[in-house]
Amino acid sequence: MFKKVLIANRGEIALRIIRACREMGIKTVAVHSEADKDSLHTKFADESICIGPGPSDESYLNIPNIISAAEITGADAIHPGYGFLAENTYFAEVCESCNITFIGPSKEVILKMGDKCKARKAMEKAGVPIIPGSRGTIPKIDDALKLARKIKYPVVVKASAGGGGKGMRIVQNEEALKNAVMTCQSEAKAAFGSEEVYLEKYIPEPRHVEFQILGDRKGNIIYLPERDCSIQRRHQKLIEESPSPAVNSKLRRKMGHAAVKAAKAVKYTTVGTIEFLLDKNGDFYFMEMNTRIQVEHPVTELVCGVDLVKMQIRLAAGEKLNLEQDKIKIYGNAIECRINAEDPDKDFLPCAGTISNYILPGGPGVRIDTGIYPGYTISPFYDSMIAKLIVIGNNRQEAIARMERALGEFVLDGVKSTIPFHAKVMADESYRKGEVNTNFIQERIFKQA
Amino acid sequence: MVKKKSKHHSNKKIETKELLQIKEFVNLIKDADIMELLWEKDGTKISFKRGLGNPEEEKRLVNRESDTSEGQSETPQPGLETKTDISQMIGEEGRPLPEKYKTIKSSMVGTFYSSPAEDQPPLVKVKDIIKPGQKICVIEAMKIMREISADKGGRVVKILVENGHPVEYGQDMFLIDPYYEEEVPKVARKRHK
Repeated sequence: MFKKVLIANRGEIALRIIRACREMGIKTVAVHSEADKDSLHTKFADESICIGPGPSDESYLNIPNIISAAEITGADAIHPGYGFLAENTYFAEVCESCNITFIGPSKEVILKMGDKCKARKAMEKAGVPIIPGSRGTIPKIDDALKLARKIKYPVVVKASAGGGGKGMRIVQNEEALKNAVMTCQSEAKAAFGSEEVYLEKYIPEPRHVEFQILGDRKGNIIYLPERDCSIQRRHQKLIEESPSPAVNSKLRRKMGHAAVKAAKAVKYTTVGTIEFLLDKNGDFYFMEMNTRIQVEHPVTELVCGVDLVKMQIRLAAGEKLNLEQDKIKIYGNAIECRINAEDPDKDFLPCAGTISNYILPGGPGVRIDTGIYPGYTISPFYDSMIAKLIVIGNNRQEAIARMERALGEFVLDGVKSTIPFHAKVMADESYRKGEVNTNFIQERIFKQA
Repeated sequence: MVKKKSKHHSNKKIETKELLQIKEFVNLIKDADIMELLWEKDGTKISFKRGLGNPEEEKRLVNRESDTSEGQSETPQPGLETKTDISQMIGEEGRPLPEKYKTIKSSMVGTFYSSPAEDQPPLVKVKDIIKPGQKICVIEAMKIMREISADKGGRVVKILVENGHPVEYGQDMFLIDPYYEEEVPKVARKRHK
């Protein structure tokens, strides 16, 4: 087991990792930018090192300074969290060459799954259902036109090096295809460094259902209860829940087995997530694989009682997977709301500000993952997430009631937040019935306003 | 109409001028690293001698609370817990450091070395006058030794990191009196006269 772990991240996820390490008796090193020098994660860790000024590319993305920090503190492993360097193949490679364990899968897996087009190919080969579309990247517009006629409109043009909903365009008809491909290519080049794009059939009103998988070095892989992340705005998740109201035990087994098949095909180790699109007919298609711990991991932790961060660290240290598929139980319903410093009345405009005072919700079945403290300033350098509010209830109705109660208890002075927006969703009739898809926000919440 | 100044009034004026000069000297010696100064002009002598302060109170370092000694590898590395906190440093005679003192900070994370190799002398010593761009130390990171150049000039008052100790981004490494860098050209000009 590792003696000392350096956390190459900040905010709530850095705290989460430090907490898991502390409970496991592992020493921790926090790295921080100058802007984060008073952050909680620097205070909770055993040691902390300043690695650069505020801007991310000079600090949290500064590979030499981060590796150097691991060397001078004697850290034998680095946990990259999510975002930043979590899916950076080069960083994983540098860790390896410096004899520091990168807590995640191998660099080959990260590279393969990071290329969305290659990932699709690998899944097709493994017999995992994929969305009808191009075999690989589209070299010419004519190929795109031919394929689109075959799979029928509407289609989606997607960046091969993209992900998380970035670098994609929905095309309704042939006239718009050429422009969409060219725009997507130039956007992709600017944002991800590669202008390669591929084509997929557009699945209307899909649900986004993902499966957490865990794997050890011996090839043992299991899946955990699914997460439904359909409540999204501009492809960014806002609310997640487990289990999905649209998945019964039969479908869960089918999708779960497909997720394990996908992970086994690439010899996946530690923790990861397979994302599927689930259509109205109960057909599901592989969308992408995330090779990191995800923001919404607490929802799964509450529902089945597995500490995902501890599992991730154990599996990265080479331990055997000590969980059996048929022993995994679902203990109720969990919902997570991502509370961001954004003004929901102004198109979710990010708000700057200092949190002067706050009251966190509590009571039974309520969990808060946050890095805020009195006087915390929302930094312009990083994302606007304030906290993750997660609840668990005996059933979905209780979970919703609990989330409504908790949102009502949450007080935040000094910044505008998305708390009122989440309360609106919880009160929405369609949401309460479990009838949601990825167009939910657009159709139900924005149209009502 | 110009008022004639009385003799008494002009005597008072001279005294005030001398007092101002004495005050200026006191300020000069207060800020500079001078132990004794003797000024002599037209039969007037002024002697200044700095009193010796308590050597134990001369400087104070702030230690970080840390128990990094447990669970470490066989050769324990010196940690950042011994890094110097400038705000807590006390100068001579127990007074705080002059505000004009500046620091040269690290722009990297790594291990600080005062010379490029073990058998070589330090690149810079206390009391050296350094120029911007001058190589002042080496920081080792990821097995590469990088020579660090000064971003400001002046006289080295104190070296704040021990040889072989780790440094983080933004950590103060050298305490500089920038006054001396401006002084040198003036003296040189005077000599040419």
